[in-house]
Amino acid sequence: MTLFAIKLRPWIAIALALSLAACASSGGPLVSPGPNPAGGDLRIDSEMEWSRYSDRRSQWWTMDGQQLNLLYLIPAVRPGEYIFLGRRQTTRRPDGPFFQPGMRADELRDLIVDGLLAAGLVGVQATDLRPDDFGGREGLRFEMSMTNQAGLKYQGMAAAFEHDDRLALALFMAPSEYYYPRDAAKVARMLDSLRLE
Amino acid sequence: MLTRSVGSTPSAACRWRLSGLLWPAFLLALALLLPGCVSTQVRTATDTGGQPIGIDGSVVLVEPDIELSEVLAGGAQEPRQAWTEAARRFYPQAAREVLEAQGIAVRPDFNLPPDAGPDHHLRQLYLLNQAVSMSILQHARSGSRLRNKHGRFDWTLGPGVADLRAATGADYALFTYLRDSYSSSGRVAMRIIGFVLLGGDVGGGTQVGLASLVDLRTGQVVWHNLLLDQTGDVRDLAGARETAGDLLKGIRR
Amino acid sequence: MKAQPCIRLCLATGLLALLTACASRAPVRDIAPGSEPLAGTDEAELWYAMERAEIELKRSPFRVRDPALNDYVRKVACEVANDYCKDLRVYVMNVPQFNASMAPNGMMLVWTGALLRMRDEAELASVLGHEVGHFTAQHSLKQWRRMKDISSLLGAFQLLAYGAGVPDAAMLGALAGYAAIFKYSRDQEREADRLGFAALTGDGYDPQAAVDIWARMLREENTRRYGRPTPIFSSHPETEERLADVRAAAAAVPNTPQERHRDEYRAATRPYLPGWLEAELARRAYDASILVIGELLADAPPEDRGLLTFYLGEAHRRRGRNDDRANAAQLYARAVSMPGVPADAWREHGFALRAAGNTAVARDALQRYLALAPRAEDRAFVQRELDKLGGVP
Repeated sequence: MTLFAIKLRPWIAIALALSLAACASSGGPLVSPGPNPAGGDLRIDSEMEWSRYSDRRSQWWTMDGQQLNLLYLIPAVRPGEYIFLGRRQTTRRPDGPFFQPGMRADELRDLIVDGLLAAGLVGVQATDLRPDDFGGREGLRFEMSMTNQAGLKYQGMAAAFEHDDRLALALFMAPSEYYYPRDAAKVARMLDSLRLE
Repeated sequence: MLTRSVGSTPSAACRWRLSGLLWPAFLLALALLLPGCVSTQVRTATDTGGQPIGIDGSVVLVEPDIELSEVLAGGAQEPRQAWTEAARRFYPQAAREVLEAQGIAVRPDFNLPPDAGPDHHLRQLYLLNQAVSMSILQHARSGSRLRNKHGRFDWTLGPGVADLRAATGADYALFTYLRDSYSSSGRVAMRIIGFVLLGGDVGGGTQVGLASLVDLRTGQVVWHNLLLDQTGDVRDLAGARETAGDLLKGIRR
Repeated sequence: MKAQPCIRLCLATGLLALLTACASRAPVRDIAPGSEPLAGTDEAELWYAMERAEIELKRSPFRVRDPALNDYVRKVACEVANDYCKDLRVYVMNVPQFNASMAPNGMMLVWTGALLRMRDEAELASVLGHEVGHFTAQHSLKQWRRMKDISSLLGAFQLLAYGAGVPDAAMLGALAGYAAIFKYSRDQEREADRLGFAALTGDGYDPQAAVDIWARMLREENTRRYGRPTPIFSSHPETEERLADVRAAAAAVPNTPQERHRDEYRAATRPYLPGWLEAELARRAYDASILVIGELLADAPPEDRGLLTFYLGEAHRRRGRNDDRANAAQLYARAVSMPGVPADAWREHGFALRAAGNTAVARDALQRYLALAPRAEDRAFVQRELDKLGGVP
């Protein structure tokens, strides 16, 4: 087996697939500044325009493309579910970052970090874990740094709170070069406004 | 998984081409005109009047990422050192010719210092360009444009490119990615057999080229292109000139 | 007509076999130290592919750059490689799984998960010696040729299906490719063992070390309930039979040398132990982690038992099945009485006591935690829990 057969330059292989693939989804609708739905009962106040993509259980917003800025919004991770949705924990396959209600703040932080590691990010470090209030609900905030597989440095911020045995989660990530510093202050204020209605 | 993919439909401009391929004599009877397809997606930033921005200043070719390989019968790709080294000589030379023919000054080619660690600022800029390029491709098609851009071709590496300007002395940086693979005789046989038995083309090798031109005074991406070509060949100077012409289409003063 | 498709298929396969039979049949050269392949051969192309991979590897974010650790691993590699020492370039990669591999151009990779799982220099030497064996016997080149031939006959475009499937592919990404995961044949594995043993014992290491490490890896593999073998066994398919072979080979070595150099190994790796244990837990493969950490604890010197007892407790608590929580509570209680235990153990001990209803002692433990780790990331949260218990800050 050739090294190169496995080692597709991931980004170009994906880019190629995307360019050649039939249209899988249309361009996302515009998010305007102001209060916005973020899936389910989740709300967030935006400071700028984004393009929004959504499926049944989550949304992701971007301004320049998901590799340049990504705001990932999940209104409700269910008990026993993989932190970024999809798989459920089973006795046959118990390994993985699965959410359980009642987890401590440091456990939720580790869940998110391990989920990002499992998604292929490298060297994910969390800092400044702190409590926060989301529309009257207790939750947590923290910042992150990491790189992608090629070595491009990223920074991010996370906000999460539990409600009715489910977890609401917001994650923002952007390259440290230009993109994160440009928007960090605004996105931080946006995460301050995260709430359920 | 964290990421989602955005699909897009290519509107390729195909042109039929006669391809010369080597095959054993007793297969000549099955000689086929294998169709070739060349497709490009040129994007250019525009000024306030809606006109494509012209280049005013010198261009530097930044460390092109070029790999050539051979496609074996089973589909495996084996890199070819001699071909890659040839392409790494011919392509930059051809690119330089294309630009100079437009009256654009070209600085000496720039390569990142070989011991540049992952934290080196120029390396981060190089990687950021990859991410920007991919984003441009992801959202290039009319069905997948980003609404918040309101139809503008608006992408940037940010003002941090000043370091690259200082390192190269150029006003614009041209980033290039080129992959090409060529069929081995076994693969050619597979293609023919595939045609005969299955009625379909299993594919020989496709040239993939990606190029972006970045204004080093602002960080703005002023021009971008994706090239897909089934019959390009950069193993010699003539082929490299043709590929450079296709890949660098639309760069104007 | 029914006969037609068969004839066409047979003809096609025959043609294909004829055309592809000319896949390089150049003899495999005797690889001498310091030598390089002849230009234009498929071996030269394979080297070239490895060189390209090595350039990427050098600047990979997975790379561990610490000079001391790299020097130590390189020193051991050189010991077992003997004359081939100058052909080697050793890279330590920060991946919490067991793997060590050697590419045909002399690039050697060792993952930190392997360094966590080994106990001493002899075990490291046995693993690296085995890899050098693959290198000197040119197994990669032979496998590459075999893969190409098989793939062309099958017309198989999915070589991944034939080679080693890599789970956690997203996590490892391109690194999986760099690790040169070749699926060697059983005979090649035996040959590498033989060459490895010769190098091991020639340098005075105890060949029993090879048995110990492989037996340990087999136990870990058996904790996995599902899916294909992990990268551990992608490159070293382990069966009971092969372990028996390794045992017999070790037993057959005359005048058994005894060197393990346990202290040297520990001195080189101990600074990394907490980080590697964290990374091991982050995999969230707790069945395996409990085995790995449990065995480390059983083999640990007194000064490391506090640390390992705590981490074993963590593995149980995070798995959280059946009586895991109870086990964890006991382990924390034990750990906090041992030297060298991290401050976090007091926090977990406190929470476990609280869960058992021992409020006063829980308060003391949590306060102890905050006193030991005044700048802890979760300070605010722990303080809040402490307040709920009615403690005075």
